[in-house]
Amino acid sequence: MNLTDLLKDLSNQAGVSGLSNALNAAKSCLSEFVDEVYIKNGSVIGSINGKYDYTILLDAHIDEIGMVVTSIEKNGFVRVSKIGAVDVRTLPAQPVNIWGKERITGIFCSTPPHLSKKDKDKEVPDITEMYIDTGLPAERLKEIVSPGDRVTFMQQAKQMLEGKLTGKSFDNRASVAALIETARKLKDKPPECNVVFLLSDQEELGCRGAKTAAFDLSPNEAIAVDVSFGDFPDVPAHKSGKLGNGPMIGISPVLSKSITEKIKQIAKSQNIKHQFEVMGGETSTNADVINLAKSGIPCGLVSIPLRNMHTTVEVICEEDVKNTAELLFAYVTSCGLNKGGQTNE
Amino acid sequence: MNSLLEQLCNLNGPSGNEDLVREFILERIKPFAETKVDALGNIIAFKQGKKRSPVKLLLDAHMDEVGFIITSITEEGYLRFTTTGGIDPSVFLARRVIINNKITGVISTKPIHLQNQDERKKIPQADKMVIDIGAKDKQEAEKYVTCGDYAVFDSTFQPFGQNLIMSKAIDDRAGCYILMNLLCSESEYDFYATFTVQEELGLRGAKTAAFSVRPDSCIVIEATTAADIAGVSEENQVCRLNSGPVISFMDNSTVYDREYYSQTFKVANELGIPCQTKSVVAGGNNSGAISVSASGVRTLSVSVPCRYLHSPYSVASLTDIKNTQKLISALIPRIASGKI
Repeated sequence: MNLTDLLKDLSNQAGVSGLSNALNAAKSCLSEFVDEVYIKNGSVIGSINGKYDYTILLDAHIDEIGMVVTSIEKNGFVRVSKIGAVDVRTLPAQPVNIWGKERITGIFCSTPPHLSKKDKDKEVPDITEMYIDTGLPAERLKEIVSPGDRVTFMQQAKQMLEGKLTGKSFDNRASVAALIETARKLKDKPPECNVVFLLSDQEELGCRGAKTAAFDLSPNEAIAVDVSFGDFPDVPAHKSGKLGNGPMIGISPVLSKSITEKIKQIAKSQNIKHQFEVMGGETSTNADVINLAKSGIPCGLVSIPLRNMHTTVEVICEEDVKNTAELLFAYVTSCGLNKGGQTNE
Repeated sequence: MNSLLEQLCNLNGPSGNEDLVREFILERIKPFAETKVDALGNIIAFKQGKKRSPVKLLLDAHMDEVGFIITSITEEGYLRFTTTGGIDPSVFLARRVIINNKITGVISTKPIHLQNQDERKKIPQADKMVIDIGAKDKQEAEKYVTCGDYAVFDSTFQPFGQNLIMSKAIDDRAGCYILMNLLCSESEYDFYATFTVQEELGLRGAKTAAFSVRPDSCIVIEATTAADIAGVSEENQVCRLNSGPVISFMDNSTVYDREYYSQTFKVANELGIPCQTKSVVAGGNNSGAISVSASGVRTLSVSVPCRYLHSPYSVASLTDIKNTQKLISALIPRIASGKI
């Protein structure tokens, strides 16, 4: 699978926390390039064994935002609650997949024009006041769907101009693809240290998957890979990265200064297109929790710029994913912060 | 699944740019009717029946769907747009569109993380939104798109629920579908059929089409708002899916012929098919232009009930569509012969 197809396939997979479609797809891709791969606590973990007793963890969360069924109403409608920061403004007439005993199609009800208030300032309702139409008789619906079933957005990724792609869940499948691409490169040029790929669960619910996995895997250092705000007229320039200008190297007091410096130095010496993202504190990524795992694990952050985050029309530039993989590959083949020493033997 | 209906619904025909729909319909009805296209782009067809009609009857369905028109291109390469027809911004914010039938674009939004509390509660107006096609700047965007180009929702016809369909353009391709079927089968009496343009822009095509045909009577075949959804009280539901064709006594554009209205229910009863009243005075359709054309036209509106009109995915019932066709087919000889 080439990178474009990998990105599209990963974006199309349903991967709200609790569903296994995206996990299985990513696991199968990763298995071609690593020594060992397994799923634990909803996260995919793959590892390449090097000759040093030194482990670099590369993390990308694999879960996406979505919904969970809370109740089945009469006449074929269901109510849901959010999983992660869903933008409720974008829900009316939005098609979804409901993952009950079988997959069924749903569509968020939109207020018909004759009932919508003329007032331009009308408020967006809370998601608990919205309904999903399934078009099924109530009895049939109850046989298939129960409270707790997951709901994901129905969207197929597509190519745009200039090597850009649009679809759902590029937050954070773009980074998952970057990690798989890194593993592919390492297959041809094995690293001297151990590399662990963590495709973590529940980031959208507060970085929970990375918290426990970092404890479990206990790496010597880590880099979290996520998406960040892409350039757009409504988005302040100082809070965004330009699509096509390469990975955004995270700079923040909560990140490991030495890792950040090393990433910068490698990007520069290897001539890899990159840009910077400076934050004054926590980064709202898994880096925040990995840093605090155990007695502290040094962690850096690399982000891929993305437009329209948390919508079904997220936009990324494939070149940025490629450059992110390039950067991660160069980082781990240089053994990160390890000054070269202990072998595994 | 019905492939003619599916093909019609998947065609892109925003108001003012109905060419693809017109070509598709013309090609298929030509062997069965005399056709011409007027200056605005309406198809005007004459169906010869076995008998001449004492009452000159017109059947109308509109070809256009709601969409978007590109108004300008920004320096950064984003497209500014306005809607062609009434679309609520809540169903196009953060949605995908197709420009010129080939370019993928997305109507962009500030991410939720950067919205303040007020922004999270309000839908921006269309003039505050732009379409992103991925172009790096204005010059690149202009290679693909120019002002005045059209866009439609990027949405594909799908089966839905139990015997339902979902599509962007059921309004009014369902009407076109029924009218095509009627034209392509035998008729006892002569009748005229118009497939009109620009309904969504103010019933504009129907105005000139009705002038050309000068009918005595007319049946407008439409898709109308069904609000039989959770959270809407019964008196506001207008009409319901799977409860049969919808007959209007009045809407915002027309007061319908009283006799036709009541006789239609009798005919439905004779046929043993369900039929319902549009129970709220709302919306409007080509009847508004046709009923007041020339010295006036006795007009009836028979509609397919449809949820989520003017959105990327409206929903209708295949049974309702079938019954609507059955009912109209039975009404043609009765009205054309002057029996009702």
